[in-house]
Amino acid sequence: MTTPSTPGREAILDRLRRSQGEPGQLFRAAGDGVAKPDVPMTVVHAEGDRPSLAQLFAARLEAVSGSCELLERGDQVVGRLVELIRQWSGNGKGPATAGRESQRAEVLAWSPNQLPIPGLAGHLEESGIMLVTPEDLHTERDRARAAAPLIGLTGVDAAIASTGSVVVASGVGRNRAASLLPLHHLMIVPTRRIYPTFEAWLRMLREGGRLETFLRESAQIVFITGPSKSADIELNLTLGVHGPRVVHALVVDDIR
Amino acid sequence: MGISGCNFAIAQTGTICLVTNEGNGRMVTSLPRVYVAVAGIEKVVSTVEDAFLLWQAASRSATGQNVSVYFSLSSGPRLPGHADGPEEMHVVLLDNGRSRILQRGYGDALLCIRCGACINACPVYREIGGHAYGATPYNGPIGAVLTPLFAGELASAKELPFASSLCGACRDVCPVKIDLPRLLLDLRSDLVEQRASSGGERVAMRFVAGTMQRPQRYERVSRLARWVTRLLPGKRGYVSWLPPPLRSWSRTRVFPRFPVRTFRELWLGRGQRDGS
Repeated sequence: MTTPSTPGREAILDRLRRSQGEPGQLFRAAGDGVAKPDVPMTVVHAEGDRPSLAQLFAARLEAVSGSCELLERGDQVVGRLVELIRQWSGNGKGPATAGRESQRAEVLAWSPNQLPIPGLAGHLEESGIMLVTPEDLHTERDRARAAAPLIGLTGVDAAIASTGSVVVASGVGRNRAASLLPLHHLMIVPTRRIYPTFEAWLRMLREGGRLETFLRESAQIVFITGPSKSADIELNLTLGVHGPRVVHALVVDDIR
Repeated sequence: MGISGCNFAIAQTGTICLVTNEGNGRMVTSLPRVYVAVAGIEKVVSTVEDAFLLWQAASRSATGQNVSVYFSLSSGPRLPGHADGPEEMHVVLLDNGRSRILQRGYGDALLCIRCGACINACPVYREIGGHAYGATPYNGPIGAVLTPLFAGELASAKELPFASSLCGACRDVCPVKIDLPRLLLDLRSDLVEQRASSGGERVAMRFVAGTMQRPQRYERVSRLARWVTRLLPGKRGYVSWLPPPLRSWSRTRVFPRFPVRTFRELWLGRGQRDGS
């Protein structure tokens, strides 16, 4: 790690220390005596068993203009994905011409080994759906490949019932673009990964000693709550401004 | 290169947090090769939990959402094998007067998480709108505090701390409980000590203070004001032209004439009129 020379740095720190009444002292270490994992911060209270949390997650996500469906078994996922992808990757000519050529579709996705359904890529390919998994989006080739698909497909690290949010960490095989660039974002959410509140999720990681490592090793973690929104222009609510306009969760009960 | 501000900077993990609804915060931290975050030093929070608490407070108080659509936590450049994300990430921690604001006793103003609740609640802001606060990123009650503090000289924005009725609506809605009326009063007192107002204004204020303290002088002045406002041009109950230095005020507004009988006269004559 490099420490670039920053003029005034010492003067600034000195002023801060003096204002705190502790001139010449080092600052307290971050988190020293102030970590409060149990501080209630979520407005909406949530508790209950796994099915009721899944129901609440669906209700909260729909309340913020997302959509959600609950599936009992992992083997139902492929069928639903094929239907949704065909519906959303229409060539814009409408259902009348939805013939053979519209059966082929590209989906910007995480690497198959990062998706929670084994063999998903092969099954989708049989239905003419190709998963585009870029390796390096700073190359022209992958940028062009990632720009075309209208649908992005990802898993999630966790989901939060009280707010209808998902936690998506970047990583190897887990590109950020799939949940950001396409018009539609499809996400597969195992019910086992649904937590009642952000506090509960943070506490689980903190108590397991994994919270700080998870942040550092992910480079970026994004918490997504519904489709991209703006009401900057005349207070008219607009969906899909910089991010996806459609956020659809497939909540699946018997997968991990 | 992508450049962003920063909502919270987590000291424990070296993480920059961005709160957005549109997704611009994701674009700028994910697509360009280089990402630069500019963070005021007051954005630093201790733990991850602190950032989550403030994120939810900001969302709730800004737009009434439980949480914003996106909350992006960037803890460094992309790692080997990552398909996207910046190759370099730089953080500029900006003081720009903040440590001096703390030193001068206005540290509470730096607790602000920029939710804007005080702006929505402020009856002055709701009447006059944002442009009245000048070319500043912050308006409303918090702007009336921060703009003079961030300016090199308090006096360069000396009108702002006075443009408030001190009703306290801002203090009531503030999720981090900044006592904005208190800070506005402190700024007023600093400005008076600095003799920031013009000589004429100071003389006028001394005259008003003296008059308010002496009932007889108050009587005489109000009787005089009644005749003066009746002699000035205007129609019905209003004066449309005031002599300098009040001329600029009457250029855009009318001024009500003082009534023929003062309140004291009405009060004294009250018994005679109902015959009791």
